[in-house]
Amino acid sequence: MTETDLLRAVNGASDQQLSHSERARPGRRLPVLLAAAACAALFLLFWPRGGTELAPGVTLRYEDPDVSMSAAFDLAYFTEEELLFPRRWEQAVFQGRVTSVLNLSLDFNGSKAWRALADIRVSRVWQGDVQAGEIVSVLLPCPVAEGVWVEDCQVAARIEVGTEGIFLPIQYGPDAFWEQNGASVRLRDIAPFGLADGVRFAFLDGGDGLIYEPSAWPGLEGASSLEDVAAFLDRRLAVRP
Amino acid sequence: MQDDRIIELYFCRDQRAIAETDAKYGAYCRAVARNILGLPQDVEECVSDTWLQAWNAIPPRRPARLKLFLARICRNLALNRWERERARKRGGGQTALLLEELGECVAPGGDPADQAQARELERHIGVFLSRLPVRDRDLFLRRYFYAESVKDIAARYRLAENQCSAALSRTRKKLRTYLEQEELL
Repeated sequence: MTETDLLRAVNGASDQQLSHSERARPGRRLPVLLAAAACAALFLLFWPRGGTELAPGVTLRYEDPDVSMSAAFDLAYFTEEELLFPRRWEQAVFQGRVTSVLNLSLDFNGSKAWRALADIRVSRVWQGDVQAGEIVSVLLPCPVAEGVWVEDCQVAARIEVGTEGIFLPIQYGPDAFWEQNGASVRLRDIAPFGLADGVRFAFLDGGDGLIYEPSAWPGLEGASSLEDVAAFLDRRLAVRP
Repeated sequence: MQDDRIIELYFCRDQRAIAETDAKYGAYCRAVARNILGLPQDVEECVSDTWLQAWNAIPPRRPARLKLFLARICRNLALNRWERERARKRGGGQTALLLEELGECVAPGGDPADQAQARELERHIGVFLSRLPVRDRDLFLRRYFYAESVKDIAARYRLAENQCSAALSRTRKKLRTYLEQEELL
């Protein structure tokens, strides 16, 4: 297969998919030559570096981490109430199945951080700007790879393609930024949602049981399935404090 | 004129079908061809060839969506012409850049696909696209079907250009993973 074959094969897009891509109205259009020149400039700017500059000093690359990497988080304490009804951010709550997991690195002026991006096909929504049937991207607080250990990410690290779960991610607003080593990037430029940490904001069907952090969720004592978690959320989210 | 009436003109072998097609979809097909080819005379010849192919295809084909049927024909013809003109070092458009980008998704030194392989690859691309978040799929199609520049796509979706580039990069990475999993590379 050549790249030309691949380019021609995009004809395989369905009429529905093509029609949907035509719905957004064009913005300001440049003459063809200027557009080509702009694209060429972008090409020269981005591709020789092997990444995309998301913001000044911040480069994003989709790549797997070194096997030897490890990291640790310092988790703030939250009550179960605060996990369900956070005051510091907007939270979505939905169930879905993971369709893709991509590891990525963010380079902040030479200081590298590793994360992953999970795409989730949503099947049920309790709250948030998301609809059942939609596929949404969620930034995970750690990369997902064998041999990679990140403290306090034992739930997120179990996310893989095909995993069914209930997720409580932050819905990033326009003012949500990640600052590190003198550079900052708007989180929404990476993904619309993100898990606040790797243990408390996801419940996964592990195949042989429920994967979650029991110490953070005393109200779920005895829960053994996503159905138990769903029933718990039905009760608790119906009555906001 | 409504699409079903235009299609009926084709079925009746009424040459007004071409005039009506050009009136309704001429600008659209010229935009598709222009993004790939660049040179105006190449664009016009490509669009003329598109009407000829449509005339030969309908009947027996009865397209569900005439606009997209024409877009696919026009796109294929434009890519064919681009390949011919590349050998003569002529023309522009986005195509060289698109191929550079999609080069990330294929194994180096691969052999060209035959007709059966090409059809199978189209089917796989359709499946791959169905698994993408809608926004990422839209961006991918604007770039690799319609050959729009990153700048124009970003403007269309009210995104920053680097955000658009990052999304396209992510999708290309997923495409490569998908092709590897399907043992197509």
